[in-house]
Amino acid sequence: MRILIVEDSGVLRDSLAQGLREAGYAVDAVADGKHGLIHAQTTDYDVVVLDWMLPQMDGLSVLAKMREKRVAAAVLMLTAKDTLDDKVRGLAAGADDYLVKPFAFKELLARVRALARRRHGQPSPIIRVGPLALDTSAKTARVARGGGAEVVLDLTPRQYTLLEYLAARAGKPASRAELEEHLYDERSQVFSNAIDSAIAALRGKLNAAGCPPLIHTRRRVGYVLQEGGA
Amino acid sequence: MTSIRRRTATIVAVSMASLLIIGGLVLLVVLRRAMTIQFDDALSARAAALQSLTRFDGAKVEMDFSGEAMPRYARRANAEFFVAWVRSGEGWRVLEHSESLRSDAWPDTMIRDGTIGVRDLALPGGGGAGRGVLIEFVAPRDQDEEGEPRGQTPNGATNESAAAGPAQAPSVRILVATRRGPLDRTLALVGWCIAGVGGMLALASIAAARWAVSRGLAPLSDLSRRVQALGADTLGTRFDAAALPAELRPIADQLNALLARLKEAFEREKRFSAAASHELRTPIAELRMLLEVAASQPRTKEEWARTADTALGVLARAQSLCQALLRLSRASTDAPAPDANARAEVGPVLIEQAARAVAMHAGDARCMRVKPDAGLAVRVDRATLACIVGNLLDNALRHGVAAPDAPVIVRATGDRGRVIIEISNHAPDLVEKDLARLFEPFWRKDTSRTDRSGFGLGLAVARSLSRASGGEIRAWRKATGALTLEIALPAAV
Repeated sequence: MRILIVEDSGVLRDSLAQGLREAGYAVDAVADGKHGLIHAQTTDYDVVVLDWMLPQMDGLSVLAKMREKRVAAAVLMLTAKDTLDDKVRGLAAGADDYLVKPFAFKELLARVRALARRRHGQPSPIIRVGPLALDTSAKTARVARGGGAEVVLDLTPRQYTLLEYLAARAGKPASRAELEEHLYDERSQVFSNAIDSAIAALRGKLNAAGCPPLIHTRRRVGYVLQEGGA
Repeated sequence: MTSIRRRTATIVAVSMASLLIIGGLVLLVVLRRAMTIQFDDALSARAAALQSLTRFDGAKVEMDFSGEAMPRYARRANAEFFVAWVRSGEGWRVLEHSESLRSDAWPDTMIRDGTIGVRDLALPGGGGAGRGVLIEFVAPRDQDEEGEPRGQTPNGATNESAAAGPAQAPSVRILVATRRGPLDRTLALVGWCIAGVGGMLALASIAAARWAVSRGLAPLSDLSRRVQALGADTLGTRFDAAALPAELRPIADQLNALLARLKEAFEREKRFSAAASHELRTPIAELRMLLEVAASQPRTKEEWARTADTALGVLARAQSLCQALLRLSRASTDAPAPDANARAEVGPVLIEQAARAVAMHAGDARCMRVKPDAGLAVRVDRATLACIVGNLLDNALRHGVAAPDAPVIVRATGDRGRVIIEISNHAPDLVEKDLARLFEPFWRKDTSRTDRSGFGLGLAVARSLSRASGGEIRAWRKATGALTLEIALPAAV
């Protein structure tokens, strides 16, 4: 999942980026509206965390332009404006959610997760594919075995994010470039075989947990997660 | 003060009622007088009729009633009566009297009193109030000396005394009296009629006055209702002065002007509190996020040290924001009255503040050129002057474009009891409508918070301090595009 933070306060921007990265998201952060818009238009973000009062171009204008250019990312507005009118204006301009400063990081995280889920058409926080069950709130993956027993997979945040991305699109193949875009932010050093090795590690862990093969390679296309053969 | 409506209605009603009473009284007096005169005339006419029946034949005076039907003098209680006396020596002897007058009730007092004319009297025999006329005349001779033909007297009796010689004709007095009752009843009726009609008119006039005043004051009531309906969220209301009566137009104009001022002040306050709230929330949000994220994972000592450093930086800025807000609040509310003995030399303060501002923002002394006239002093204490000038210079360096080849220019000149300090700098981004908001707290050309050293309070503080010191600050654009801030302060003597 890739997130863009547009926030002019350096402290807030850095803290948010750190917290979201630690929660397993790929995060880009910019300080003003113009750069925010450029990023939103050039990268397929899952969620944009957008401050209202921004230099160069305010958050509302950025949002309007994004929607005009048909940027599909879910937008979470951040603002110190807390009147009802402000909220209505923000939501009317195309924001998907609204958070008034100061806010708890946990709340922001929960809202970002919910937005990401909705963005991919997942109304429930639990994604099930065959014996595999992902809890997108707790960020955990379980494999069901016979007799009602379950094995919790021990995944790194990035491995979990990759699995969730594939599971959220179960049956739809994702290219390596797409996976890279959603898994790594601008700060990450991405090696050419990063996705392949991450997939290999994920397959290994699933296999160890007694899960039938779920992740299939599609030649010249990428990878697909689905039950049964390719 | 009671309501205009009641006052006006009362005045109008009292005036109308007074006029009605006075008019009614005058009418009553005139009518009484006219009716009494008519009554008296009738009485006198009867006396004259009796006089025409009186003849003196040279020896005695007689009244000839033959052929006269006189039912009004018939015998009955309290009827009209007449008495005729003829002079006899020193006294008077009754010559004739009507049958209605009983012989035991001679009104001798009348004759003894002897007042000629009409008067009120008590009818004899307990007959009540009456009115009588007493006439006195010399009984005409049967053979009239003026040559009145005798045949003209229809009742030509007793002419055997025509040749009685030149005996002196005696005086005769006739009293004709009647009851006052009918007159008094008519007069009372007229009086009651006038009083009744007057009372009804008075009641009608009170109602009419109330109605007329209510109707006349309707636009005022309407205006007052609309003013009462005004509230903080309806300050955009404007009264249509053209639709109001001429008397209310100035009030409506004043109200409109007041509403416009109130609305502007309200908007300014709203912007101020929104901006203040935003500014105050930002450091709180920053600290909260910083600490929550830091605490969400195990951290090394170095990471915690970095977090603490960042938190202290946020706190320092929050502290200076609070100080700036307090300064502004004090400058605009607790400012002391201008001190007449205060004195500050302008030149040294300008040079000192320019050096401080350059060291803080620009670093290159060529970015600011200070050219004060010598010997200028203002009636403001030095710390206040330093604060005003310092804030303006900081603003010029922070938000303007200052460079060695385009420096901020600071001038000070004397002008008729005032000292004018002018600070000009290039501010290419600033447009005309920004000038009006330049002194508003928290206003910044860009909503940028990236320049972490400015809150947008400096100019607001400077203006509040200047006003408290009896001066003023204004901003305008020079033809060259340079922004000029002009401080006018009272010169020290």
